[in-house]
Amino acid sequence: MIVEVREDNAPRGTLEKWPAFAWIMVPGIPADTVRKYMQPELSALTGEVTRRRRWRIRWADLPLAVRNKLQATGQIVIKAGDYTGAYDFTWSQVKVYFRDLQTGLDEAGEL
Amino acid sequence: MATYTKTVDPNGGSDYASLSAWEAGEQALYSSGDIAIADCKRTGATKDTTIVTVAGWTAGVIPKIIVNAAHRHEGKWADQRGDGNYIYVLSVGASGTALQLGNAGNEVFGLLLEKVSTAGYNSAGIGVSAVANTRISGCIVRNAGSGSTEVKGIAGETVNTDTIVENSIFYNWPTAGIKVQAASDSNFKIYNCTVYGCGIGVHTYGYQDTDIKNTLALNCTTCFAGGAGPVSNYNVSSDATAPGANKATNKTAYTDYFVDPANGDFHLKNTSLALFGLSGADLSATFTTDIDGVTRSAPWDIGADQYVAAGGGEILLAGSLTGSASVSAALTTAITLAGSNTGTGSATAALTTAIHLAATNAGYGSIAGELAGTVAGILLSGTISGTSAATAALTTAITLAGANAGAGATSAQLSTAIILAGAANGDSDCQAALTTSIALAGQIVGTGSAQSLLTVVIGILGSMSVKVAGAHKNVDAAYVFADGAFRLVGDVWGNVLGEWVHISPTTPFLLREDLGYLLREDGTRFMREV
Repeated sequence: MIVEVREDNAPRGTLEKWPAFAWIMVPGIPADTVRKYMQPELSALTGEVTRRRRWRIRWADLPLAVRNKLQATGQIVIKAGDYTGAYDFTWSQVKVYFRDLQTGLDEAGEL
Repeated sequence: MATYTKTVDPNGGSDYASLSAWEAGEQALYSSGDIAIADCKRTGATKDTTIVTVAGWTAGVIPKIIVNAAHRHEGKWADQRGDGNYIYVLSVGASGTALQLGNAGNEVFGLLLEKVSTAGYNSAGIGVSAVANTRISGCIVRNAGSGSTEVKGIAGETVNTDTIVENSIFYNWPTAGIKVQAASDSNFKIYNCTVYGCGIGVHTYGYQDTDIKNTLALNCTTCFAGGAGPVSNYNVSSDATAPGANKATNKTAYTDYFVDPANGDFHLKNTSLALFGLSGADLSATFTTDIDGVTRSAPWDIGADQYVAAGGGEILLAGSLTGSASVSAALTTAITLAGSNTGTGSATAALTTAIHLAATNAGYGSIAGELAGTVAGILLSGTISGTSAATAALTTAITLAGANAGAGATSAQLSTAIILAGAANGDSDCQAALTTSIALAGQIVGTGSAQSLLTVVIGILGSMSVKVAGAHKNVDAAYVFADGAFRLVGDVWGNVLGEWVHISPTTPFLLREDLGYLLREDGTRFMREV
């Protein structure tokens, strides 16, 4: 479950670390852009919340290199947009592991 | 059973930087019967902005969200407290319920919560879903967004039992302030809440076991709708809908009732009896304080605030003693501190920051009134009519006044002031000391000694009529002040070797302290030391 979206360099709690938490860093992308992955799933009929998060990361399907990186450091850095700094993977490499549970489709868009 | 407390601060330095992270990180760590507390702080300007859903915890674990006292609101909407600390706030812009409670035994205490979203479908401040024993206490929940479809302050949704909402404020919610919307909700209690400026204030949908007591719903399109349980009582509305046998209706003078409703300050301006002609029921079996921690006492006020005389916060502290023990009253910040002692013990009143400190002692003990570290002390006054000592000290003030009608001593000290005035009508000493001042006035009409000390002074105003048995020593008020010659305003009398001598304001003279003489200007000895 995606717990939260924060701006770059936002403070972290001392317990917000691997293995309880994994950080996916997308430098340069505003939090509001990424916040859609925190939306709840709402009933089209009543508008009530039917699922806490509409989006899920398919952790078990992630490539071994990504999982190893997370296990080693607790975070991965993703290159997206105009970011030119150091990174571990590109958005194109990982976006397909974000699944919309309401539609059943994986993410195909850009950030 | 154990209690596990973790800190939450969006500004870092704590266990978690948001309630959402606390909820995710803690929900699987504990065993049935354990209590998991989020101790919420806010040490900087950054707010917690993430939607929180408390659900899916290990069965039997009780999660509680409690705002730390140093970062808790003061009964009104604000970003910072009076002491400068930031107030913990959950400020959510996203669509959906800001705080969804879906775990049995949930408790939320002292939270400031707002929705700032523009899209509001099915959006609530707090939602309670399919759980038992939820308690929401001392919270202020407002809508500051523009969403308009099904936007409510708190929503009791599906199959809730034994929910209590108490001492909380809900305002500006387009759909409803409090909405009990599921037929299967049972035993839903709404006690001492204030609901203001909502579509429907309290909407129960006809679920007749909803218990509404001591609740204000004002300035709403409809204040109460859907009926209420038969035990509902002591409610107030701005229309005719308040439920209960005892109720007040059509109360629409909002700015007469609340301190500043337009800006989220719903402290009462007077007792609910004075404002609405109605006091509330005593609910002390359930809780004993109001939204900002003031102890409720009979008669209970209606709404989230228990009125305290002279305004918001801890305003008035008064203590009295009629026995022979001691009484003390201390207050950190206040408007008025008053204490009295009619017995034979001592009475003490101390105040760190205040406007007025007044103390009276009609017995035979001592009385002390202190005002220290004062930012802006206005008046300190003390009176003693017994035979012991009276002391009044003030670090910074405008006026310090003290009187002693008994036979003991009185002293008044002031470091920086404009006026220092003291009087003694007894037989003992009177002292007045002032480091920097404009005027010093003192008078003694008894048979003791009088001293006035002033390092820097403009004038000494007053007369001295001192009966001295055999020596001039009690005229020594003069040399204390004198860096050189000075002009005396008022008469001085002295009895030297049975002969009365007199200096009038028009008598020019020089002080010769080194010789022990007071000399006339022409060099003739005026008063000789014996």
